[in-house]
Amino acid sequence: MSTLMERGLAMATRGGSRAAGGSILYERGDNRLTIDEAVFGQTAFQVEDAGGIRVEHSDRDFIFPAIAMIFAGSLATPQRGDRVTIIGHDEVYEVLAPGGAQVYRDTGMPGAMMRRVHTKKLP
Amino acid sequence: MSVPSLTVADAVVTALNAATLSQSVTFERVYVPKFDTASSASVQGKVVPKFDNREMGSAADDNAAIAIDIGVMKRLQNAVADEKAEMDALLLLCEEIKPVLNRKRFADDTAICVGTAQEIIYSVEDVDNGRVFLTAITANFQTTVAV
Repeated sequence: MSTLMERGLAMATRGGSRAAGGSILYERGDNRLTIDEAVFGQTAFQVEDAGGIRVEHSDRDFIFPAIAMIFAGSLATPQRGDRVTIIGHDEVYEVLAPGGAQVYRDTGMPGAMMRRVHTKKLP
Repeated sequence: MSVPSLTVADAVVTALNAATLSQSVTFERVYVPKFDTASSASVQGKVVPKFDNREMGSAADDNAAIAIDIGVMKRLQNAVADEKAEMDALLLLCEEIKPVLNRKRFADDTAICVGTAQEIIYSVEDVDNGRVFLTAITANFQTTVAV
C-alpha cells in the first residue's frame, strides 16, 4: 500500500528523469510554509514574441499535495505573485499563470489531490 | 556612405546613456530586442531603428523621416500589491527620457527629433502572465539625405 506522497510522486514524475524533488519554501507576503518532498517539474525555457520584442522566461512547475498548503490554519490556493524557493538552491520562482490560464491545477482523486503550481524564475 | 537610421540610433544611444535618469539603465542598439526575465532584475533599454521614409526634398536632397523605437523593459520585482508603484516609477523614467530626445538635434545636428509617441503598456499579456513591464517610445526624426 503506497502512501499519498508516493502515489503523488509517481504520478508527477511519470516520464522518469524529467523531474526532481526536494523541499520548497512557499511564501505569500509574511506567510511562509515549508513543503517537503515537492516535485520540481522540468525547467522550460519559453520565448514569447510581444509584437517584435522577444521575452524569454524560465518556467517551472512545482507539484505537491494540495493539503500541504495551509496558511494560518486554513487550506489555501496559490495566488499570482506567491513565491517559491527551492531550499538549498536559492532559486526563487514567482507564481504566474502560463498564457492567461489559472496559476495552478489540481489533479488526482479527492483526498489524494496533487497540486501543480505554475511559476516563472525570478532573477 | 553611412546609413542615416543607424547614425541617428547610435546618437540616441549615446545621448540616453549620458543622461541623468532616476533609474540605472544602459541602452544598446539592437535589431531584435530580447529580454531575459530570469537573468536581470534591472531596467533594460533597447534602441531599435524602426523605419526610414524618404521623399523628394530639393534637387540635391531627399527628406527622410526616421523613426527610432526606445524599449524600456523590466521584470517587476516588488510584491504584486506594490507593482503599480513600480510601474509608475518606470513611466517616470520614460518621462525623463523624452526630453533627452524631443526637439533635440542629433548626428552632428543633421537630424532633429520632431516628436515622440509612447505605447505605454506595450504588452498587456506580459504584464499579466510574466510580470514584465514593456513600454516603447517611438522618437520621430527629420533629416536630409543627399542624392
